[in-house]
Amino acid sequence: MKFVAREIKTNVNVSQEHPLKVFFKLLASLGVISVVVYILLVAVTEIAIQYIPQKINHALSSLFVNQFPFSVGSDETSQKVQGLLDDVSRKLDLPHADSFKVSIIDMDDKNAFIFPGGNIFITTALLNEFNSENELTMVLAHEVGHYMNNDHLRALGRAAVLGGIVAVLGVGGAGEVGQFITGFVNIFDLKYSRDQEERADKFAVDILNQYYGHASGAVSALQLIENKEVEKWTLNGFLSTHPVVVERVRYLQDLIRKRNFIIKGPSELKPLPFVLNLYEEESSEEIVELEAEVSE
Amino acid sequence: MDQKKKGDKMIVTNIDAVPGKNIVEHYGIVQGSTVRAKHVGVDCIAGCQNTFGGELKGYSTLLEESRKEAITRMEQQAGHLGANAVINVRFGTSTITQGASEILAYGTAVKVE
Amino acid sequence: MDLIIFLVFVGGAYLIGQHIEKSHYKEIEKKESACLHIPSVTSKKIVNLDEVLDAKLVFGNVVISGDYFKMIVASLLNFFGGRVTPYEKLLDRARREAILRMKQDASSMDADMIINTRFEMSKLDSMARGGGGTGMFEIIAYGTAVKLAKK
Repeated sequence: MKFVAREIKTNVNVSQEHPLKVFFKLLASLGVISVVVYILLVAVTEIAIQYIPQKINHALSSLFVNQFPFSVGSDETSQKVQGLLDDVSRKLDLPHADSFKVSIIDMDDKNAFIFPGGNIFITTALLNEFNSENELTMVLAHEVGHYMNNDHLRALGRAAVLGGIVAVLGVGGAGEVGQFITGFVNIFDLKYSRDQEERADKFAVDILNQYYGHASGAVSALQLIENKEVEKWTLNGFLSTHPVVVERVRYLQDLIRKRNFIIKGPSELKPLPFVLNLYEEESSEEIVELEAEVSE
Repeated sequence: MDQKKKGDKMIVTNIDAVPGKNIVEHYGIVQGSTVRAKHVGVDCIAGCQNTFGGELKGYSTLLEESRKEAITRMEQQAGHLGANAVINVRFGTSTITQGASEILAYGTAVKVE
Repeated sequence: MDLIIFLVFVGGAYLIGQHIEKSHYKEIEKKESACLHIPSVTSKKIVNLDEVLDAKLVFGNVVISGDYFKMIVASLLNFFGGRVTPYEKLLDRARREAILRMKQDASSMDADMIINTRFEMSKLDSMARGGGGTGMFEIIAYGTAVKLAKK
């Protein structure tokens, strides 16, 4: 037979669909799936939270507590902070009043958190910054507010469900897709966290007002936590879990105005009930000032 | 160039000739390939079946469809050249990434009478 | 910040990958027209073996790899299923290039035809990283180049 040379003009082995189109279609489908996963997460945790008994709540706390370094500070300091918290809970008749325990951790990060079981931790860096008892009470009340709203359980529940979904996908060989979905869900999560923070702030300023008769120190306590101004429209501002301080402060000030809380001058603020002489950055003048104000 | 009549089925064989016909012209090698991925449901089920053994029906179906498509593409390419048969067809399979594999079918495009 | 770096990588990979692909395809089409006179067939009996003057094993091989963008699209498709279109183009290019190199090898001995052509493909990077990364493949095409007695 003879050979007839002919050119193959059309390529049957490739698809003519533009790769970018394929990519964006896939991304959009993934976005839709992430939304569904997120709604599922929220629904499941909200329902589950109703049914978690106190015992489990306490048991969960032991999972976390042991990870942190021992509390620093004289027993006197921790006891005084604990004493303040107990006084507040007693006077205002807070539920679960006896389960709240405060400990101080040695960390350079200015932070405070609460774990299941009612264990509150304040870092030494934050403790350093307080100028009055009012501010300390505000922070303690904020954490108690999270506990009252069951925010810690929500975080656990959501993490568990998301982890479960990602594990199933990992078994199915789609591990990278699992990462995509986690990324998407985290972005939705941030709005959720901000709402939680604002609710905790609201609870805290109420407590402050009831205990002292005025709401001074609430706003300044917020401003202690972040020491850099993050602009709202940068990527960092959008992605940080705590709402930008400016927004939180504004929210709080609005609330104070609406509820006609009184704000008194700085001289009316109660001084801290203990002496801070443990931490490096203290200047000698501050120590003298505080020592002069110590009163019990 | 003779136009292939609509409805003319392409003859595909694995041997050097088409039995009962003569090869008149040949046009060289033609190939059809397709790359396919399984979706996550098939994989989950297959993962479970892995523990018990037996045929992984999801995968079998997937690869069967891929092979049919590869053969179809090869026939299409032969048709573009004016052939009506493809002889000496061979297959090749290989993994591209985890979960995606390529099926290749190739042969010689000829005209038989 | 990480997100930005990632997007830059992916975008760059996409653009450069597309450019390389287009230019490669143009080259392939040009060379294919030039090599059209040496057919390659998969059968043996097409040629009467008495007429063969000279025979030699010839082959052409190509090692090709995907880019980052292809890998991402492939892993997304792994989730949904279906045809993995970025890799189809890649492998098509590689195979055609392999055939061309085989034909060049054959034309160096002035062959008339290549018979009994076969393909082999293997994956060069390991699958150990739980996804395979971008994928590196070697494709070879090999056959017997024959020189026929002119009638």
